[in-house]
Amino acid sequence: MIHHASLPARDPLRVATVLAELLGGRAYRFPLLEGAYQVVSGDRDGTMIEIYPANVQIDPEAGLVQAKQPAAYHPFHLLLSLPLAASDIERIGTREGWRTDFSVAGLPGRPPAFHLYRMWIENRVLVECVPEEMIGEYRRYMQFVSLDAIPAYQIEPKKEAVERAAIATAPLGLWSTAILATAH
Amino acid sequence: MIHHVSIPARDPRRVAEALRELLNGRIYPFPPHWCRDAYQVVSGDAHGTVLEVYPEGYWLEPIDKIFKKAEPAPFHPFHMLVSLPIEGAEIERVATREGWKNDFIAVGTPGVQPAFHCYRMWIENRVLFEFVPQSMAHEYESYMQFDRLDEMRPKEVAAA
Repeated sequence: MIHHASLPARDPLRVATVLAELLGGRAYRFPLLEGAYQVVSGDRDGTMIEIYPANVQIDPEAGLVQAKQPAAYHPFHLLLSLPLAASDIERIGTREGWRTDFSVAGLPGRPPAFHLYRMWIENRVLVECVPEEMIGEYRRYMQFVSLDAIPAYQIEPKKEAVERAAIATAPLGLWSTAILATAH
Repeated sequence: MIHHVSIPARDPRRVAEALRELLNGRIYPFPPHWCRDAYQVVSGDAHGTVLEVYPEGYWLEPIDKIFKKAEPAPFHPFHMLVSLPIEGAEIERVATREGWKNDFIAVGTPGVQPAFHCYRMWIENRVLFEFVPQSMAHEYESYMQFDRLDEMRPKEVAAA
């Protein structure tokens, strides 16, 4: 189970306040970092989201450090189920001026996997929001039995194994191609 | 509740395999029409807990295709705490095998009673995961509650 996650914000208190509203929780000061907050959901799992000022990075040697230039966007996102109705999620997204799209997740040509709101916190950090009354769809889909039944989800053998096999069986003229593929 | 999270990796398949071992789950390819060479590590728990691993050099932007090529950042402001169905010795074994920095630590404010204990594992020595064996998760779960924080947080803020 994922119990907590951290994300950056240009206006951490505002984002913490809005996330507290979305989670039905409370915002607390994060004692170890000035200007950072913890949004505590109050659920029994201790679900919590930490909000850091925009230029903070987590470094394995130095801990929480100030980056010179915060990244414009990030490869991280999260999906949350919320004790709110869909109309509340839309209202909060609209009020904050944050892009919020109701979307269908799934594979092309297949029935929808699940539905969600993609809310872009400060129009930058993606938080996928699902009303708790709709989360059954997601929970059922993200199970081995459901994913194992979809051919597109069957994993290929490890890449290195495929490359080794390709090199071992390739006619001489294909060696350079195989090596180039590995280099990429 | 947090159901899934995505992270970047220099070697997404290798990271996905290690996370699969930690979660005792299975890995699936991420839908390639969104992003190739990405994986979903599916835990198999009732919540649909999933960790998504994306290849280095993409970020998520509020545009229709979402995934956009970008220069990778050296470090990130994101981290997560995940409880695992394995014990501490197995967590340590995976980190040692992968060569990833991994420390067992007490979380809290110096001078105040520790809030909880966890492993801080740096995936590819860069992306922070805090891991707690499920057998120890009650310590975190009982700390991260309104009544406990209302009592402790003023002391922690004062000591910081």
